[in-house]
Amino acid sequence: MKRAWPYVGIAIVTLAMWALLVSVNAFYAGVLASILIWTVATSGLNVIAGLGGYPSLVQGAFYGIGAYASALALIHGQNLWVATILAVAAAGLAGLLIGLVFARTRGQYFGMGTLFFGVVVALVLTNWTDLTKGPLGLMVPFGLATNDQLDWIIPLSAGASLALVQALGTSRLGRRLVTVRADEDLAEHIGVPTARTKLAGLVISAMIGGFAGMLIAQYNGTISPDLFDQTVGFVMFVAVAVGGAGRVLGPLVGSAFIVGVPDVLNLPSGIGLLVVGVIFVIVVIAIPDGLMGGMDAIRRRLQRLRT
Amino acid sequence: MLQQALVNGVVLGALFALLGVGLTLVYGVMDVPNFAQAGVVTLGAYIMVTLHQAAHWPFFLAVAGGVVAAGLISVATERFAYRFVRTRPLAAPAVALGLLLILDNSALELWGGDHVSLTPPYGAGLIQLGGMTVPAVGVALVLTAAVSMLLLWLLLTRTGIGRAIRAVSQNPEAAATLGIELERQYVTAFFISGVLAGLAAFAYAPTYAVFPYMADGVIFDGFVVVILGGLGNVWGAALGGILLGLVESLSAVYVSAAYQTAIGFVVLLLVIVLRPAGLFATTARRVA
Repeated sequence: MKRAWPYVGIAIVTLAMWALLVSVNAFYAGVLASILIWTVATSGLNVIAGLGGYPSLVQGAFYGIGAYASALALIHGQNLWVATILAVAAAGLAGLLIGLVFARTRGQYFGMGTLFFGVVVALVLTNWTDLTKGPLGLMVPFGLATNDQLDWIIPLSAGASLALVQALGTSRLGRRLVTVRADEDLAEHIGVPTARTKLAGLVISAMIGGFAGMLIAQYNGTISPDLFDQTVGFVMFVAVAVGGAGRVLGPLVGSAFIVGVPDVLNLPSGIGLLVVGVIFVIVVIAIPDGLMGGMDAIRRRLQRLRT
Repeated sequence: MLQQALVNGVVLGALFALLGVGLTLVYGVMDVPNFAQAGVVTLGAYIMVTLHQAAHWPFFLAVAGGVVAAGLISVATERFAYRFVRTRPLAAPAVALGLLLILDNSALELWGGDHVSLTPPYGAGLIQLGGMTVPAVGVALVLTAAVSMLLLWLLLTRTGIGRAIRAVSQNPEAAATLGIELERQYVTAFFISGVLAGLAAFAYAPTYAVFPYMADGVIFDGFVVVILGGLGNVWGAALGGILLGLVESLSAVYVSAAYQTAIGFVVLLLVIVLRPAGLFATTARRVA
């Protein structure tokens, strides 16, 4: 029974998000939908970067590959199921490719290698105009029966991605990833196949990222390369760090913070980004384990006061 | 065609080297990927433009002012932000991004988003070099980079300040045991890195334009250079810069201009896979 509680918690959060999404006005619904789609993408990142402790900066590229793959499949007359499978498969394949090259590299080398892969994907999306229409982007055919269906698909997807990370965290792969994060050399010594573990982690991250890409393509109706450039991958990593790396709800909290704060403040872009920058720096410096870690610390202190 | 591409490559490489050396120096002492360096370049360039055009300082005095200001801004990023995340490698990139947003958007707020230009007195001059045409600003860029590298080499190898920085870079604990004040070395490394960013702004601005996000793209090349040279290896970064400049400029001519940066990535990939510690790796990490 005890193992079921986290899933009950995730289900309650999901229901709350759905209730909020259908009851608030169009502006806040838009902000919330963006947050939830980002939650899916950053939950994917939470596998390799959170559980595994590997600074992957390429999540934005998986997100973009998923968005373009699903859009192209729909444009060529496939239905949404096929488009979704293609999005997940294409992103997973890219993850496999990156993993095969970089799974043996460590720390900052891995970070910069993945960052540069993100640059290349953005370049391809911009320059392969026959396929992607270049910087102008693509119109995405709508694959659902009615617009309202997204109102439950998006929160459900966010909840499912959180549950998936929860399940992975207690699985053998998840425990191996945590061992790699704690001490990779020691992990190797005690028989954890570290390179294979990282590869598997990265592919799962990529597939979830690809699924999120399909969601944003459906939600937005148009996609263009600037939605998926290297900065996006970088900001996703920051969202995981701000929310609390390796914590199941971290991506939700981090996305709410990073996507939500600038949108809700609705400041002119210069001052807005300036404020966001200041907030990032203060949060990252002041709360070492991210916002979720900060909440844990407060709870522990309260418990100590009570006893 | 080939000769012109080679010349362009050296000019581009000199810029990459200036950026990469500053990044790798900071990397050596503190292990932070200093993306905010791009923001320091931007602010340095704007300060030069303002001092020259609005305050009517002579060109080179304005440049000197901008270079010193860039050094101080870089020190400020260390004092107000990086020093708190020294022992937290996963937090450093997040802080770096936050700082970059702060610096770039300060420039946007203070100077607006329009492209402005920094025109040196030798501005549109062209120099004929054995049948090739080289813009004077390109020559100035290469000279700036060469002189800066030479001075940095003298500083790191011939002075007490340089020895202390190298000691911290190789082994902070041992350096601290021997009585080297770590804090001072961090500040010094960031100041030097900021000065190099200022020099990069001076070298870069006349060829390209000055605008709030002017250095955000080229900083990626700076990081490729850092890896090519081996993290924390100053001379590796200098050589890696020239190498990457040549590769990108040759591939722009012979392969595809649109994928110039992607070719840089291929080089990076080869290095990471074949020589993970950088092209010029020795067993110990070193800064000079």
